Amino acid sequence: MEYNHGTNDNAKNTNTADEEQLEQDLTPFLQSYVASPPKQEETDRLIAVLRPHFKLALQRNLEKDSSSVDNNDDLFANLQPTTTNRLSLLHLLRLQCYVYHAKFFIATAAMFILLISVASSNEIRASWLWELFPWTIPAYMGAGLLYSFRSSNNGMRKLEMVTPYPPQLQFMVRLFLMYVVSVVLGLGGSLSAYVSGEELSLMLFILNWLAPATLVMGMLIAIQYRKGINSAYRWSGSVWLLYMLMNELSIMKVNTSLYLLQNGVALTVGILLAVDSVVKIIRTDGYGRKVTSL
Amino acid sequence: MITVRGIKKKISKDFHVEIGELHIRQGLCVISGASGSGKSAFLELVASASDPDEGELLWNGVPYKQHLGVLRSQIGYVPSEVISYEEMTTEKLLRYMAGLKGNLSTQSIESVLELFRLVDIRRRRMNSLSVGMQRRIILAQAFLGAPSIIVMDEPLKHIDPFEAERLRTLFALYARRNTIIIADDDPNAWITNQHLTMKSGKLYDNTTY
Repeated sequence: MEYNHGTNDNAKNTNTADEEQLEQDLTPFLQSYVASPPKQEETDRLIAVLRPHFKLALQRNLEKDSSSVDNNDDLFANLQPTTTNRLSLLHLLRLQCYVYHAKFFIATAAMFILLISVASSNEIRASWLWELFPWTIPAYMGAGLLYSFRSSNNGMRKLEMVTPYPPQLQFMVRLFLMYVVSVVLGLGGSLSAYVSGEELSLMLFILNWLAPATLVMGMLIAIQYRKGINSAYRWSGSVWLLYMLMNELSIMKVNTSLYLLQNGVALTVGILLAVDSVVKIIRTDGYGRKVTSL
Repeated sequence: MITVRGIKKKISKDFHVEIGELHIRQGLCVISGASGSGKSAFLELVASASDPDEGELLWNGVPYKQHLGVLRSQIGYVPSEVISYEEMTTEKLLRYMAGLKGNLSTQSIESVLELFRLVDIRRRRMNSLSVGMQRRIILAQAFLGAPSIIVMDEPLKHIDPFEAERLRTLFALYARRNTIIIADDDPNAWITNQHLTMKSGKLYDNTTY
């Protein structure tokens, strides 16, 4: 074993010496083949040169992968191209109901029941009802409309805008929806109060809340069309409060004809503002002056 | 083809987006540039989500303003950040958006649910989903009705890398017959037909492959 070990060591030493000698002899010759590591700029240049080839190769692979898709029906065939013939105001109205969650309608129903029970209660004085309705009906309408914009995210507004239904038209339909619900709510409450035997003139009582509700609706649509939703709420809210302050003045209530005149003017102004804005919105294909105002 | 003709849009007091003559052809176009270079503002203009102060945009030679309603039914748009109606379910949101686009086909909704792998969460509310899932739903709505133009601002933000890779392929396939314009900081991740680079509100480079 020892002998063999010694022989192996000798052979190993001879090999190492030979290898070193060979390396020394070849060094000048091999020097020209030794590559220095590439610089960052060189790598960038190479990638830039190769990029079109990579893209071409990737594209070919992609086409190869997708050829089976093309052979068996198009992957996107079921997406069904849109045709704008299907657009209608009724369709938009139905769509805007999607924006209202079931909770909202439950809350509305609860409010309606409360209003009816208050209106038909014998313990409530008639004068309270005269004050209760002009406050609650427009407030409900404004709050309901605001609820539909609860996702105040700009991105969502933009998504709703890049559709064939113009933003002004979407606002108009939502407001119309809330106005109709408010009027139904008010009429139900008024009839309940009348049936329960309250001593009130039904037409005057209806006018008492319908006038401010219509004025607020007209102002909301007219100002939103011209200045945007924030200004619409600011101005119509201020006018509504001013109107209610005037309503509180005893002179108006004492003098029936003056009271009728005030409510009549408010109702007319509200209707005129709404009609004027609706006509303008429809005439301008619903885009109005401020396309991106919502 | 989308043609941009000398548009100018004021974004803030000292920042304008200003693009001279530009043609965006069918295929996948990626826009890159540093933050605040005007990519999102330019995409909004292309998607008709905002109006230029000067100049005009044309779709196949027809000015945007001439048939805005029809054009908008042909545009799918994905803004950078979208917070949707939180109580809406996936399916309801897609139905709502499809309706707004004038597309009443349930087949279209089923198709995007499958393409974007949303079938399992079709009845889940938006507020119960992860940000990545919500992003996928917003991407899906852009494909409803097979629009000719799809404009997406950082579409793969919040999406996991594996799904992102699949969606890149899906978008590339769709772009073979339509126009997809994407703002993304990593243009090399996409197989693009056109690459635009923006700098300080202006077009810095336009490379067509």
